[in-house]
Amino acid sequence: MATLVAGANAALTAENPGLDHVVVGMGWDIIPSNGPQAELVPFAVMCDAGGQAVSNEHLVFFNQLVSADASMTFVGDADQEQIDVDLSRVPAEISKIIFLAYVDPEFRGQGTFGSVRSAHIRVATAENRELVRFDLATSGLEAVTAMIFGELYRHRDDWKFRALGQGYRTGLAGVAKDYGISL
Amino acid sequence: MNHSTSPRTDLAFLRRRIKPGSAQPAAAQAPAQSAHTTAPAASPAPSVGLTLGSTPTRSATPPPAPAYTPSAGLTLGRQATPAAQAPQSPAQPLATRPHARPTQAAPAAGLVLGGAAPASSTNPRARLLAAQRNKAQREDHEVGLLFAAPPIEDVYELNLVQRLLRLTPLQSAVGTLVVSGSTAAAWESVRRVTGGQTVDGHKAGTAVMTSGNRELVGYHGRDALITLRHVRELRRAIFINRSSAAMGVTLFSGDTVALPPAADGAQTVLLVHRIGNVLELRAEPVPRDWQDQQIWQEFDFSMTHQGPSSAYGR
Repeated sequence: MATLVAGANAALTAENPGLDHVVVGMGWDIIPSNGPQAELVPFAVMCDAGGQAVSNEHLVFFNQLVSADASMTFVGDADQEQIDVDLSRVPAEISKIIFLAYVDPEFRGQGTFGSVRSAHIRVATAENRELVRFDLATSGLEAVTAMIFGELYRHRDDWKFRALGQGYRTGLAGVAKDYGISL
Repeated sequence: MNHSTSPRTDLAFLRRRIKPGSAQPAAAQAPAQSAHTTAPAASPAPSVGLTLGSTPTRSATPPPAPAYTPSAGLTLGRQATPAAQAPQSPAQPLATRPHARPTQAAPAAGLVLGGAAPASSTNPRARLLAAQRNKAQREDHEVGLLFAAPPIEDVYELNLVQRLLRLTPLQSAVGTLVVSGSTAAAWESVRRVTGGQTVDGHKAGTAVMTSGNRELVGYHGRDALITLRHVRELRRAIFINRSSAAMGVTLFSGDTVALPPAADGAQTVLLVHRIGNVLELRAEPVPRDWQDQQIWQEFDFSMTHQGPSSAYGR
């Protein structure tokens, strides 16, 4: 198991021959509150070579459980957010898959990543053997409302993972603008 | 009377024969196995119903054939047949079926009592994935059966002419659906918890609280809200407008739609109904002089009430 820092990458399929299926898990701890609290939503976007979302049907989240090509499946509940990626089924037009979490833009007070105590993303095999892990820094995020945790991307014939930890102050709207998602 | 004089030579054979599979130890282990699996219960296969003029969309596909079809009904056998254990190719190759989301292992559609389960169902993770894919397929199928409806971007006003619009899965799930100008709301969750509230704070039935400590449907100031982060807990909601001003609906994207105030002896009720992973917004006319209770009754809302909690502590 390798622990990455922001910006670092790790070879997945090159280091693990025969790997055709990974589970990307995202987790966090939120400072508990008796009142309304920030709700983080895990979200995956399948991007083309230009770095844009292929379509809105190539998003995977709690209300769209499977991508259009059935290569990605959202498996999650309140305690554990995982996205299952069948690498062999990902269409060739997909050059990368980004994994992010946004704070739900709730009308009654959205909240920020400032209430997140710890957050991580991990990539594991289908048998839950952890391949790489990235623990995000969670200080100074009081204005951050969306965060790209990491990305799976193609490198020649292989798949690699890059740790990112890129925060947005503009929330899902900012991510949507950057990646061409139609809200 | 008609008595047969010939002896029954087959009786001895019938009495001595061993019923097939009666001595298999796997049957005794089956309940223990199922007790240790943590995956959710197998979802039913997509229902096959009447299709009336459905619009071909991405998900407007016939019910997808499962990867294998063990049984559609009651199975009382002690052991799955080899055909059910080994995944088979569907009648038509998956690649040739457009838009069909392939499944890894669809669970049986009927009750299976005893016996060894298919190999895929013994792996909790595989079962979970199969269940999620089945769920997505069912939702696609439900949405595919719907009549065509315009998106919110194409509708300025919901009225008796343009009565319906449909949101996308993303629009149905991000932020808050804000209904301004309503004077009362009623809701029903997927667990049939039903409640109502007026803009001036009167409440009936039961509120549905979400994990973010917010009401699934409720009022914030004079705006009625639906917490879309938990849209999958919502079954439907209605919003009543007794004022002389129009009602308006606003999404996170900024898209809006208006509903006219009461006129000509009719008032317009906004019905928000979740079907699969999309929300439908519908304008429903009711007589202007109807009280809230009559409107609840018309829409088949029956307020639920929580029992006194102290009764459980005794």
